Amino acid sequence: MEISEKPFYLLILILPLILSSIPRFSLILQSLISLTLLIISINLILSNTDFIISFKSIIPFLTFSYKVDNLSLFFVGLVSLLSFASSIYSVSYIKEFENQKVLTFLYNLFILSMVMVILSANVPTFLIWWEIMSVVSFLLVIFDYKKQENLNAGISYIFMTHFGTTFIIMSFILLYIYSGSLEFKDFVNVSLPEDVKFLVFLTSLIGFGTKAGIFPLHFWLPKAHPVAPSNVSALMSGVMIKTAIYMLIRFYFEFLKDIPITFGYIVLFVGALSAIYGILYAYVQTDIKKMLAYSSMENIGIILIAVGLAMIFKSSHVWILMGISFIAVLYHTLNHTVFKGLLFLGAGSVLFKTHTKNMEELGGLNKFMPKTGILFLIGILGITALPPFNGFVSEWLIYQSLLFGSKLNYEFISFTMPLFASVLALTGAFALGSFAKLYGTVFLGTGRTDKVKKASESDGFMLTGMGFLAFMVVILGLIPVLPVYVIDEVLKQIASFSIYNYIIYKNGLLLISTDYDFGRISTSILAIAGIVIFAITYFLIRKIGNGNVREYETWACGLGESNLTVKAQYSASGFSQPIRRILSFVYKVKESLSFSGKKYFLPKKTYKLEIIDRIEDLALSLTDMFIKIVLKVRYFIQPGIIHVYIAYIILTLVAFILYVVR
Amino acid sequence: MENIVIGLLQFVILVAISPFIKTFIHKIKCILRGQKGPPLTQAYKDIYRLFKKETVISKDASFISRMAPYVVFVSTLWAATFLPVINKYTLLNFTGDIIALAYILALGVFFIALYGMDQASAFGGLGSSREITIAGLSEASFMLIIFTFALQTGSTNIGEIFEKVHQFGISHVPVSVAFALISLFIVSLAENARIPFDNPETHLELTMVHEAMILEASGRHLALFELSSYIKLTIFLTLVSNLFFPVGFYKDTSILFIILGVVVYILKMLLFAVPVTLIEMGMAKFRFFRVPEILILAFILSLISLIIS
Repeated sequence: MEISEKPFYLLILILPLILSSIPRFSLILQSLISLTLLIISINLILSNTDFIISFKSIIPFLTFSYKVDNLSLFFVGLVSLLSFASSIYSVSYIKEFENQKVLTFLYNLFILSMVMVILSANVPTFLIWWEIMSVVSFLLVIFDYKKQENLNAGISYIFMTHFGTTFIIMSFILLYIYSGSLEFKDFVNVSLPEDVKFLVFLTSLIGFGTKAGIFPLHFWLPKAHPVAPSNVSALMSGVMIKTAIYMLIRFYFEFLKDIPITFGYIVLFVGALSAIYGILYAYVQTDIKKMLAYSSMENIGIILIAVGLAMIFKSSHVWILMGISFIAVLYHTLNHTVFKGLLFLGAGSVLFKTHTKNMEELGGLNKFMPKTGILFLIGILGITALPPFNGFVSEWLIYQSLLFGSKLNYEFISFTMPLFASVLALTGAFALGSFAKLYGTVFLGTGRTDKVKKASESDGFMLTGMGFLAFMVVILGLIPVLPVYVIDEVLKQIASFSIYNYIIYKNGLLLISTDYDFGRISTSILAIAGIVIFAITYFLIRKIGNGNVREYETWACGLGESNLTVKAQYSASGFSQPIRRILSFVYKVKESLSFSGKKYFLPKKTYKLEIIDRIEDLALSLTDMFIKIVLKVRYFIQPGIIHVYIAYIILTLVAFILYVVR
Repeated sequence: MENIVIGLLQFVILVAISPFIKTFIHKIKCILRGQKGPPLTQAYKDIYRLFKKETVISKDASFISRMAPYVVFVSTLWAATFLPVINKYTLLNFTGDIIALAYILALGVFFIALYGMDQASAFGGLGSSREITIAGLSEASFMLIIFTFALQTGSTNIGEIFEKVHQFGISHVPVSVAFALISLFIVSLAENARIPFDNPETHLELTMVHEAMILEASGRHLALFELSSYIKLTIFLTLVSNLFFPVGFYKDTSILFIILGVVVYILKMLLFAVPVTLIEMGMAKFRFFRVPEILILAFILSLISLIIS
């Protein structure tokens, strides 16, 4: 359906942008508008919306059109959900920076561009907004441009994002050739030859995969996401990489029809690889935000596992199962937005108060900022998929889909599905370890340096922003019926069937996988049971046991407080050392121990540990090789010897003379 | 109503016999060593004594130290509420998912690891790091075993799985199960910090894993940790015995069958506790970096069992 009426009231979206010169007011406005947008998009999804708005421009063939349907609204809802929380948070957080007006302007533009990318309905519109989004996020990455690290990350980011855009344009060109139109709605149901279909699949996977940070195109992500201001990191990890997932869903579930089963399998495989690779590197990081960025890569991998499963089920025409994995895709996307946003904002609070994001310098923050500590813990419980929080529900759905995948009638697929499940289990276990390390070294124990002592509780705005997201982590876990109901509406439009009644049982108390006998969970009842058990235990202990508590110093083999240093605690790199050693083939580790001062009498020792991403290393050496070859070729043409240039001149002259004379 | 009573009964039995199983293992070890050993009620007395004692909390501890013992205890009891012992009707049968079981136990591991790091003690961090490593590496094989049984029985609900396994009966157990049994046994030893992964009896600084994390715990907190480790061991033994020795799991709910079920269950538990003691007697604790090798063995065994089932 196309509507002619132009909704000019949408211009309110750019109001915060215009008012960026008053940073704090603009951010409050942005959060209010985001909240409104969130409510509107949920309402529109529930009333099953599908229309296109077109704006003609003075240039012929260039029409700006925007598609408002359930899928795009779902992702718009995602953006506004996180931008609501992070805008409130930013009201205090931007005090950290000098040029607040620029930051606010870029921040608002970034949110706007993400919303517009999602709503775009033809190729030019999409590419323009996509490019604005990339460039604005690049500017935000290098916002603190005085640090060399940030500039390096920015260059790597801008290069990789354009590498990806090249492939995106290629896939659009292929679709354009066969459909003869630039509108997304004409791409739907376009009939492509098999090999072209594969090409479109591959180019879109590479193109959007670069943005999403899939293996092996991820290496810009852990560099770029951590160096941006934390509120922006939250948006980048929480929603920007999801725009790529959104476009992949559009491509594989709308544009490409009758995809062979191998496509789904490739996506599944790439997803599993990204998940395990991401979490293995997250495990050994000592920088809080870098670790969170690697964990984003892991979660994108998990989402792609579900996307791949949904594609496999779609090509084998098992609709109910496709529905379950599709719900798992969007559920996990939503969950990841919520908890990754929360964790990045929490990391921002730590950075704001202590001015360091190095775990080795932190510790014991729970005593200085207990509320932030609790909110951060809730985020961690969500991301490590522990019941009854939200990550668990979506991962459970993915496990169930994997189990169903084993029942398909393809020998190879049904055999490898359990392997993917064990990869997912391994990922979950390592995620548990990484986040135990993160929380343990940053919030528990005692401070490793004096930087910690300056810390104090985050203020009201920050706590509200994080508190909202923490609330969502709990709600999305305990009441899975809410997100499932909304996602089911999206599914209805994409695949024209509903599976709500198949997986929701007893008014949403129970989540089942197609069949009551097959598998069922109920997080809310688990939570209630947990509270009851806790209450009984607590009461019994109070009744029979001894309730006295005495505070005393930690036992340290008889060492007193005076001669015990805080360095005796386990460090972050010490915590991850066993895995680093057991799985040493995964990492490239550079260790060095240097001595300074007196050589034999108590020399000052410095230990350096650097963990290099193997893929980044490979990519760097490949580009190095490529540049060397180019330079060699150039050297033949342009050797810097005057005789050769004179020879060129003479040759040119002779050529021209011959041309004229003839 | 009847089902709730049965569910409550199973829950109580599981929790009640867990200290006994622990002492039983210890007793057999003592007898094999030629020692007299403690009386079989020792663990109950220990727990009671600990509850009566005052709790000492480190000065460096945060709210995690006060919270973790309860969370660990609740998470193990959670698992106990839906793990069928003698009958399918457990308290939370409708949410008794075996994948959920794996994640609920992981919740306990997570909080015990946080507890270890909370007191700024060097031992705690050491224990947490090792525990997380071992638990992480054993997770993959555990999930493969879960999938083997889920595929065989067509369900991920523990109650349904046990019921199907018992329907086939002991004479129809496929050969592949032998591999799964060895694998699950290794995983159980790893998850419960037994030899050859960890020695539950020592406080020897360089080798301890589980004990290092709860070194600072005392009084009721220690009691909760100890009790939950007993219950966890019993949960794993129940899982192993009900999956691989499907006798005595009755569909019937008449009083006679229930009593018979309880007796058979206790006998089964004692039977499966014996190999644990034998392994602990016949083996020394492995060096920490040899642990992955044995866990990879478990993974390969579970893979074989999955392929040939």
